[in-house]
Amino acid sequence: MLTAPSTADIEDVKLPMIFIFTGLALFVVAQLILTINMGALARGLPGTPPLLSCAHLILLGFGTMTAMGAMYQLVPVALQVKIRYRKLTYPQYGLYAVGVLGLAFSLYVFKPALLAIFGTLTVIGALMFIFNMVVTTRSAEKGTIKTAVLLALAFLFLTVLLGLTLALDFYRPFLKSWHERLFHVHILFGTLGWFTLLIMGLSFKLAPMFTLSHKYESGFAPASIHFLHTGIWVAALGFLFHTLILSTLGGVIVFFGIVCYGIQMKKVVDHRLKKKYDLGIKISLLALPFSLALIILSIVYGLAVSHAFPTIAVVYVIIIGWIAFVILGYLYKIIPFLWWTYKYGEKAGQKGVPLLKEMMSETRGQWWFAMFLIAIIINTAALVLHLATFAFITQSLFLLSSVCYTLELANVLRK
Amino acid sequence: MIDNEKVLELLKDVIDPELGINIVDLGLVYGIDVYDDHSVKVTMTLTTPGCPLHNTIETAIMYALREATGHTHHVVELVWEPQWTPDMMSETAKQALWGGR
Repeated sequence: MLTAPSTADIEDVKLPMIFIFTGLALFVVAQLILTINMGALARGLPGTPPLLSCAHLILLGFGTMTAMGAMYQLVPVALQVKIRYRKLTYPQYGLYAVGVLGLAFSLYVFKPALLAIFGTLTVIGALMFIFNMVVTTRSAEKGTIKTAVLLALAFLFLTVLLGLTLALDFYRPFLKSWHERLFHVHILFGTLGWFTLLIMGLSFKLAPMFTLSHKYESGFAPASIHFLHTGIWVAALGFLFHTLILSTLGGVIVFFGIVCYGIQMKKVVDHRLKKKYDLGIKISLLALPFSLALIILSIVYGLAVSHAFPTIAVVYVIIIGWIAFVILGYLYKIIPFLWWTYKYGEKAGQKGVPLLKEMMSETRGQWWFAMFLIAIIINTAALVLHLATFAFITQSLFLLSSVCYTLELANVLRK
Repeated sequence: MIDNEKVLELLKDVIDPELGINIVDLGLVYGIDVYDDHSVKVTMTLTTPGCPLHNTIETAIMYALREATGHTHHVVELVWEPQWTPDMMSETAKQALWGGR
């Protein structure tokens, strides 16, 4: 006998929504902090307390918080498994949210004692999530998505462990010259190991599912994961032992991985049956060529004209142009989808039930994403050229777009 | 009186909310069994394993069957063999998605 969606199914939707909207609120706060401090970033001072606070709000408060919520929903879908310890999910949210908020505050006011306390809370929240996800994912059948998700979780573990070590070093210094080296590895593991592997792994399910793509060759998917994984470790060794040849080689291997991912996504799109697919999915797919082009242009200009590697601009593009942009794209598709399922799932087939596409305005969405794109391009140029005032103006545009975007998504909850 | 033809017509009103096409034209319905007590068993699949609209589509089928028969003793069985392929779609569905590609 078939039953209607159960309470557990409905809770499945509430849980990711809580994570995602907390993440979006923190994203707006982070953009406000970045706007105020964009001048310092353009002048080449990324390590000021407000900017450290902002980076953690974006990566832990927005990126990881959103990824956690999305994974509680998407991992069971993508890997055909059930969350192993559902009772852990809400306490995990509470601990992690308090930890990240406290951590961002401690960094902003730069109080090492508070940093150690809230850093520890954040780590405990992250570890609870990693544990739950690893035991959940392990029961899935072998495959590229499973490999990517497990690797991403391993890198999240290493990233938070390194982060905690760095926070403790602020409180009681013991790392000396290793602090900066570990800091670079911390950024590498977080941006490429955790976020990029996760984005790739989940995209191998989401992109074909939302574009209705079938019968495509999938050999580039495992290649992309293995190249990226190998490249990250080679680059990490280069960072740790200050060996330029290793970090460059690592970068090249990572690039191969990214290219393989791009080819795989192109194959998916080329074999789609849905001619018109949604704005959110288009944006998520666009993020890769967009950020790759910006990174290459920044590096070429930096090396050719300024004779320096434009580290700040490259890290900015990886975090905002790639990670944040992919997430913002997917959320534009996933939030209406989840809310429709929650609100109307039990009334499916009845009169008066809106269509999924009526939950969100694609026209307004095009405006918000266009504003994001323009702001990211000009911000990157301003960071490469060290134009502090210019960067402040365009970052204000980014802040405005992030407020409009978040309100647009919040508006879905009124339908 | 309900029979296979009637059930098939009812299922044409069950729309996949993501694609906006009914589940019959999508080729998701593999079998219909109508029993003496007027209960119905629908054997079906989804376009991809783990499709998040699984419950939603099942609920819509149950609603349509309940409205037609007045009772709820129906079964929707989800199967993955044979695996769904685009070839199972009707020409109408193909046209709706991409002008017949």
